[in-house]
Amino acid sequence: MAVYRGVRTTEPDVTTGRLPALRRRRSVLRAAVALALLLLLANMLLVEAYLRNDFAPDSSAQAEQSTSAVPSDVRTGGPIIDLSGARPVSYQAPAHTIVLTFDDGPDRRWTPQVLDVLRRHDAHATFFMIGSQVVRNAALSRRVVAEGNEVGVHTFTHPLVSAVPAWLRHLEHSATQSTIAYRTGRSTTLYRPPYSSTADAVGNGDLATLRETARQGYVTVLNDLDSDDWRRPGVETIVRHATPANGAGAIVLMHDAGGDRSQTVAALDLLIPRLQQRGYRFVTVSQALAGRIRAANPPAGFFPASRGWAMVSMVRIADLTLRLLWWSLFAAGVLVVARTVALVVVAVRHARRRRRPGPGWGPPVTEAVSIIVPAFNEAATIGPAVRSLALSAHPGGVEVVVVDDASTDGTADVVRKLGLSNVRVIRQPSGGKATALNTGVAFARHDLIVMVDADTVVEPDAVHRLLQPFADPAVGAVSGNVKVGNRHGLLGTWQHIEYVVGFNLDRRLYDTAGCICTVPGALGAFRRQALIDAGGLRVDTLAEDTDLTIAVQRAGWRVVFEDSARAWTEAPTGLRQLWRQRYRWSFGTMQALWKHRRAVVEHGRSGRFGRRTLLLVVPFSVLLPLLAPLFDIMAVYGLFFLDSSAAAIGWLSMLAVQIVTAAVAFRLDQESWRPLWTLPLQQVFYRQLMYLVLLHSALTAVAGRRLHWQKMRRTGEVRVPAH
Amino acid sequence: MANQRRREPSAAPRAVGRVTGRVRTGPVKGRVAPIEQAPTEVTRLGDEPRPVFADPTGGRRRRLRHVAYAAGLLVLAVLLAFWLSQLSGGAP
Repeated sequence: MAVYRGVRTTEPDVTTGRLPALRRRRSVLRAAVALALLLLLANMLLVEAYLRNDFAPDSSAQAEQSTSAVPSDVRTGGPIIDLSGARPVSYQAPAHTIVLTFDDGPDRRWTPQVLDVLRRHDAHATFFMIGSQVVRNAALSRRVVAEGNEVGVHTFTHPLVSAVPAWLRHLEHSATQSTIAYRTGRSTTLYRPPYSSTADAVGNGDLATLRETARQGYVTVLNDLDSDDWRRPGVETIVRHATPANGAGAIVLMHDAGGDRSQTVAALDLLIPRLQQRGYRFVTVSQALAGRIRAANPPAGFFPASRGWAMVSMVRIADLTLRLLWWSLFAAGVLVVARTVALVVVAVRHARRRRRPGPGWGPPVTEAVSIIVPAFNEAATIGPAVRSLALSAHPGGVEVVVVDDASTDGTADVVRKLGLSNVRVIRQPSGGKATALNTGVAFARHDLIVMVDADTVVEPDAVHRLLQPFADPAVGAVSGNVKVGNRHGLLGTWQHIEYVVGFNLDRRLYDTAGCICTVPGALGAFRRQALIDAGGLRVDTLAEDTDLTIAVQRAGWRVVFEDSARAWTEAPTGLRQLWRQRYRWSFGTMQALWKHRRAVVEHGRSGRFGRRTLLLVVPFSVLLPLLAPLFDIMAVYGLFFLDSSAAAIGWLSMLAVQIVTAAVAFRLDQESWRPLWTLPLQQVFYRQLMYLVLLHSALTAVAGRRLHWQKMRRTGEVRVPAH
Repeated sequence: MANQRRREPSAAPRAVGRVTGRVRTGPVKGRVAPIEQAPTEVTRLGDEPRPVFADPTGGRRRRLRHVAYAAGLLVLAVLLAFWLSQLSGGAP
């Protein structure tokens, strides 16, 4: 379809564009803003992905490490290790003292049960918490501290700390520290690395990270006795594992999260009274080592608590972002399914109804017709276009009115040289396509008027077929079936697919619903009275065809689609041309829809048309394209961070839906299925391009920039293929 | 609207919408002489309708630009401050 420009005035409002420095600075700033927004989204998605990365349980096998560099004091000493001084210092729990430690919590289900058991037996324990769990269980974290227990850092997401880079390790620790500070009002000096066990298992690799945490101010707490409760070996076995020999003191490792902990809770209820009878006391780390190490949970300062607040807010916003994305994706999925079902069912029925032999629209329309061809610098294409029009087979005869909008390339001469008696050329001062069409209508002698672009070649019987719906006196305008004439190359093929689907499915659906929004400028027919009722073509939108079509329908006329009237148009061959064309289309469509927005609330035919459009065209043609990139974003996100097979299945099923839809459209139009092999490629390139165009034109609309017609480069290669 | 539509179509074509240029033509008999040679002159139209969405003063654009810059900078600053602050904490 023609991209056409009549007026070549400079825009008064872009004069700053002549200052290259300012323009460059602006485009840098604009890129920075876009980058900032992308960063924000990526940040939220990555935070979410990082938090959701399920950690392996404590059981994961550790490679045997060399212990040659580990000081013997550490290996043979107690499980509480302070590496901050020049010499490592280890502490052991005193005799008849049990320090119960619970890892991986707080957990909404099991931590309260553990706390209940502890309280019942007047025992205290130390909880090594996961930062991300603290974020999501605020009240529980406070309860742990309020009941006299101690808390320690067990990292934010339970990674294998020796395997992550130092900065990330630091982040894991400081984020957990500050989250605990914000949630409980306490800071902590206790640290337990994930996947840790007893002191004699510390390897060379662990030692470096232990030194690092000591520099950050932590005392590392390993364990003497591993209850092995994560294996769920049975209550008695857990009790046995957690019972020290000969009245010795012990740091006992248990878990209050990470799966079914009912055995842990039951074992605690047995273990504590049993050992208390033997004279054991159940205390926290700093109670056990009173006087030897600092208080483990001093009140938190303002800054750690603020950092915790920031982290909690960040996680909340990230959660919200992801939930929003999922809901939008769900909405988009529903729209796609609804659209596919509606399109296929309605389009197939529409096509059957049209093909049914019978009277069709009524008695044949044989009235004479005027064909208007607006042209600006179309010398390359107008020859074949006008010849095909002038030689149209229509009983009443055709007259062709070429309106030359002050072309400079001899367009008028090309037409004159054709020497066709039923062709007139009218030259008008430069005024634009809408003005040229108005001029053409003024000069047209007949009351049936066909408008055709100068780059479009029609089939011999297209004009006659296009006029048949006028047998129905209520029909005011008819849309033809426009096909891409130059289908070579990927861009040509993709546009071909797009045109076939757009005309054979979408347009049939909108036709059935009575809300066709565009009679394409490439091939459309109007009654003169409908044009007069609509007030002619207006110059205040760039999509004068959409504007006119809506105005015709608001004036009470029916607009229908005649699929057998075929025209072959020249599609843009380069990316830049395509971008410009689509930019103009989507901007023009937005202008036209916005201009006629009042139709939605009006009474009568205009209101009915407006509401039908709002219900059908807006969700499918505006909302869905805006939501479409979600499929790609979430597919990529899911592939890398979530369930990759589910993401792949989701994306591929979308592709399958597209292929089925396109296949139906091609079948309805009796086209070969061969170009459909490019559909998967189209999904990863063309669709995104169209989305960017949509975004660009929406921004232009919001910013109020003035857009002008742009001339397209032509090759003039389109011919009607032989059937 | 309906009765208007049924109005008898008149033989003489009428101009619809906005036409730049005024055209005088004589009565047409038989084959039409090339009309592009008819004397025409350019007429000045009154106010053209303002294109939809256009903002001739550029005020909306300027405001939008400033808001976008401010929002972008704010986002960058907040993100940077957040991550730097998170990296700065240790045990008391």
